[in-house]
Amino acid sequence: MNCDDPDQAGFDARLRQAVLAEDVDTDSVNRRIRQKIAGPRRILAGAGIAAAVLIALLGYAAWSNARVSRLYADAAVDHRREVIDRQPRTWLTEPAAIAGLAQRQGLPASTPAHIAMAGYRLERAKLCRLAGLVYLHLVYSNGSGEVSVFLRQPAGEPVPKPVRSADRGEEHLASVKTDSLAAVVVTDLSSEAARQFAGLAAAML
Amino acid sequence: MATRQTEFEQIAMPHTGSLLRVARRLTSEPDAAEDLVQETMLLAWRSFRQFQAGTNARAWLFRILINSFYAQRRNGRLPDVALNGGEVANEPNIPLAVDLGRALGMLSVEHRLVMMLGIVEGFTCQEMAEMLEVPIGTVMSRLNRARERLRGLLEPESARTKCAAKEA
Repeated sequence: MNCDDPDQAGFDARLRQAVLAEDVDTDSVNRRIRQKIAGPRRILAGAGIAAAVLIALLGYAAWSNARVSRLYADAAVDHRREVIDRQPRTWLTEPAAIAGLAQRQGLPASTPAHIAMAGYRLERAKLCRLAGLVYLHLVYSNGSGEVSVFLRQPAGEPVPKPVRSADRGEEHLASVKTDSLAAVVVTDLSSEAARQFAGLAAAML
Repeated sequence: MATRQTEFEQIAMPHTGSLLRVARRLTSEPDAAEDLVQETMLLAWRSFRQFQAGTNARAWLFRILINSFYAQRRNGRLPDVALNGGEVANEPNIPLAVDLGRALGMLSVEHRLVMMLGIVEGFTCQEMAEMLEVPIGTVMSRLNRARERLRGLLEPESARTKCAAKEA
């Protein structure tokens, strides 16, 4: 503020000096302002993170479902071609050889024998690839029908944890996953037989 | 987002001291002054996107403060009284020993504002006219009257002498 009157200028200077000499503590108000301007952003950031997590979960669920779907499709086709249609494949039929094959896949050697449901016996075994992963393919029979059980160590496979079943054409499927085993069961007998085999595999291991 | 807050803290936050000093002269309670400054800064934060870098941030903030102050008065959130409970028109002269702050508080709000903005904070009459949305002549007139009133309160002898000299 310019002032030409020296007397007035002196008065203004004294006033300014007196007011500016007063202590103005801005800590409290600055803290309040910072909290207020940061608050909504934290909420927005939180909402953004939550939305990102939700999108990721939904994306993962969709991807996971697609993988399960492919696994089931591969298992159903494999069972149809190799068991029902009996396309020529090299199978192991000796129990000891099958136990050894299971062991080489990191599974307990006794697994193939243990998961046979009452009335069924283990007929043959080989390795196959489902949804890009190697599984031990075991075939059990009760004399009137056959059941394929695909096993592998639970690492990377898309098998859902609780027993889950589905039908694909004439094939009934069930799958289960435990800490030590992932199993997919396929049969043209009944969905009940598929679920029972899957449940038994989970219970036995 | 973080950049905007940092920018705001660099451009606007350094002026909270000045704003608080003026707000204290406008309100009767220290808490009310802090609330007024807080509201001012939050309004500034909300419209910070529209603020043009390089323009007078201080004048912009004071304009928001003044608008907020008048809005609070209209809403009844701030009492429409002179500070220190003084009745402006009938307050007796105060000896010079009494602090300037108290005398300042006895001016009307309009006079207090121009004194604080013009004399203490150093804004030009043009800047004050824009902030207060009044003609520059009104600002100058208020400033002169405020000075006279304040001097009359603080230096009664001097004021009387000047009046006598003028009359002579």
